[in-house]
Amino acid sequence: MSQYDDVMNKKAVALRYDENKDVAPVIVASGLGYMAERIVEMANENGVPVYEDNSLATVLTQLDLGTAIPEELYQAIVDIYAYFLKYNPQKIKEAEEAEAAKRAAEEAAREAENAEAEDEAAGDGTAVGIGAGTEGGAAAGKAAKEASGRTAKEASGRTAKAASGRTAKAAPGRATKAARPTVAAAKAKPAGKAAAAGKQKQK
Amino acid sequence: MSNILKVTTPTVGYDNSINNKPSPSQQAEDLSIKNPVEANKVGRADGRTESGNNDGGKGVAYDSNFGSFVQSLRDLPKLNEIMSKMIFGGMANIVESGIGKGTAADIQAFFQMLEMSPEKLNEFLKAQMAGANRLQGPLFDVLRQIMDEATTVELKAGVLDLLKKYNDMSSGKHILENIKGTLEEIEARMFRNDRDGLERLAMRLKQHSMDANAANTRLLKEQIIPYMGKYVADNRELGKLRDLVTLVAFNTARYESGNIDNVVQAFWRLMDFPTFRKHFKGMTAEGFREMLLNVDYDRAAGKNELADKLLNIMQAGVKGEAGIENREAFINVMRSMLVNESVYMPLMHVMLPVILDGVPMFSEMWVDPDEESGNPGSDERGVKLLIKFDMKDVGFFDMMLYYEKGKIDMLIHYPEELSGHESDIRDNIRKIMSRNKLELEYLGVEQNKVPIQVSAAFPKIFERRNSINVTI
Repeated sequence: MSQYDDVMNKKAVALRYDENKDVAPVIVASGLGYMAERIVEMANENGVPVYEDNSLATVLTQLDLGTAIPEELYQAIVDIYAYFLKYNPQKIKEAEEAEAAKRAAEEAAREAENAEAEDEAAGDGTAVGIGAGTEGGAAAGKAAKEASGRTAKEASGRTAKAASGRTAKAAPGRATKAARPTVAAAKAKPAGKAAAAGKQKQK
Repeated sequence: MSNILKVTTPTVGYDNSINNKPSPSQQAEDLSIKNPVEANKVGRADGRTESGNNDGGKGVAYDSNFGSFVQSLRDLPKLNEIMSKMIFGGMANIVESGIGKGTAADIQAFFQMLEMSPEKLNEFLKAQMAGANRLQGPLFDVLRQIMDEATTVELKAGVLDLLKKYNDMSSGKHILENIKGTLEEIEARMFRNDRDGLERLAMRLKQHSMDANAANTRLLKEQIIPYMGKYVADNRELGKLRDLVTLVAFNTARYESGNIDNVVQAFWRLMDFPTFRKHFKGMTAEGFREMLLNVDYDRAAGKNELADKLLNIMQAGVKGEAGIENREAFINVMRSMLVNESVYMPLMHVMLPVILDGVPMFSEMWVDPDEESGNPGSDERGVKLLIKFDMKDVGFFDMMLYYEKGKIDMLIHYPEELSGHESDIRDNIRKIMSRNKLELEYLGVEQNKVPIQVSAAFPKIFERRNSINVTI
């Protein structure tokens, strides 16, 4: 603090109140923010004596308080709030559900891939087998192969894979980010459902 | 950077902090006769005094305004407790107590607004910070720089004078509201005939605007104040009413000082200083006036829908519209907020009521953006924060941070329920800091046993005891 600041801080505020009748007045700094001013108005309306000090010393303090705060500090504070959210029992439950859904989605994707591989193998076999017999048989074999391939890909593969992929990408990444476990949970839930639906459709 | 986070500040602000009085047990053993030192004042044998409290605390100087501020400061955690209770319960107790329709709708809308994601919380935090101090932004950054560069007292005093006038101008609406409120109080204490006369005069006050300032000031100075002065003289009203008239005169002086012409004049006078002029090259008085006219001062002071909703709810609560049983809680919130705006509190105070990803939370922050480093002989300055937050079903946390040039010292007090997660907390805090490109120099993670007091975290609060002289 410079010598000037020191001089500036030495100020005198003279107030008068009757200590037998009134409570001591609150001396607030003038020119704070909107909220502070409304609170002062509220206090005045309700009989709480408030004196607003607008001396140069107070202005100097206010000027110091207006110094900018680094952006990264704000973000770090918000991240810390969000990190401690994960200890909320509701969030723990949601995280467990998200984990279960993620596992189910991965399982569904694996099954879908296996089914696709099996279908492909089965489709080839049919085509070869029937094709060896007649022309009509060859056409039917081709149609069967296309149909089974499409079913496997569209019904289970696309839905389950996309869903599980999204979950796998979103969930662990966001979970470690600590900021958005709930977003991951929210996303994982429908993803899990979609995977299950895909599995059903495939069956 | 010194470790300023291990708070061991002795309880300052208490005049009898050095307790050299014998304990009752010592007293019992010591049977020597004690003669009173002062014949007119007989002291108690056990050394206690009338002003001392019996709860084991130290004697507080209640005889000054600073003393009552210190006492209020000790009650500060109440704000956190009350607000947490209100937010965690969705203000259900208030709604149940037969609140008015308008306020109930306000509460509903307020809670909808509180729901936010971490991304939105970041914006909300910045908005709250912006609303805690008017002197933020590029213009004030330049003025701060000029204050640092200034070598003459005249220039510094000139800059502060400009800021004072700017403050009065931007608070014009608020000052006029205060004047109107005081006039109503005066009217209530006057005899009927004179009261009617004052009412008629007060009704002529126009709604505040830059243009209306001069007309309102003229009316106050030339008619309203003389009218009240005559009433005081005629009726020999030398009590409360005269004090209120003095308050109107004081606020009128502030209102007049906030006239835009005065602000422009104060700015233009500063252009005589080369140090000042070099920062405002090419700026004309007219250009500066235009700039001032284009500011929405309510928005600049942090007015937003959420703040308005909260204030409306509080106003209803303080008036007792939310049930008499809740009135005291609202009054306590109001008082706690006033203490945080005190002239003795050289800190920014921010409240964060939020429902973060579905979890209700109430947080309070005290920020000193210009804290001394604490190292002997060092001129470095940094940002010091005390953050308290209560998260539903998780617990109450205390957090202290000191930031300086990308480096950070941190102390976290976590609730008892998380005692098994200390290493997890450490790891994740480190990750958060490195993700935000902050170098964590010190990290203390401890279980919360005693909440950190604001006065202990910011000992500079007590420096004001010696610098501000308040006479009542």
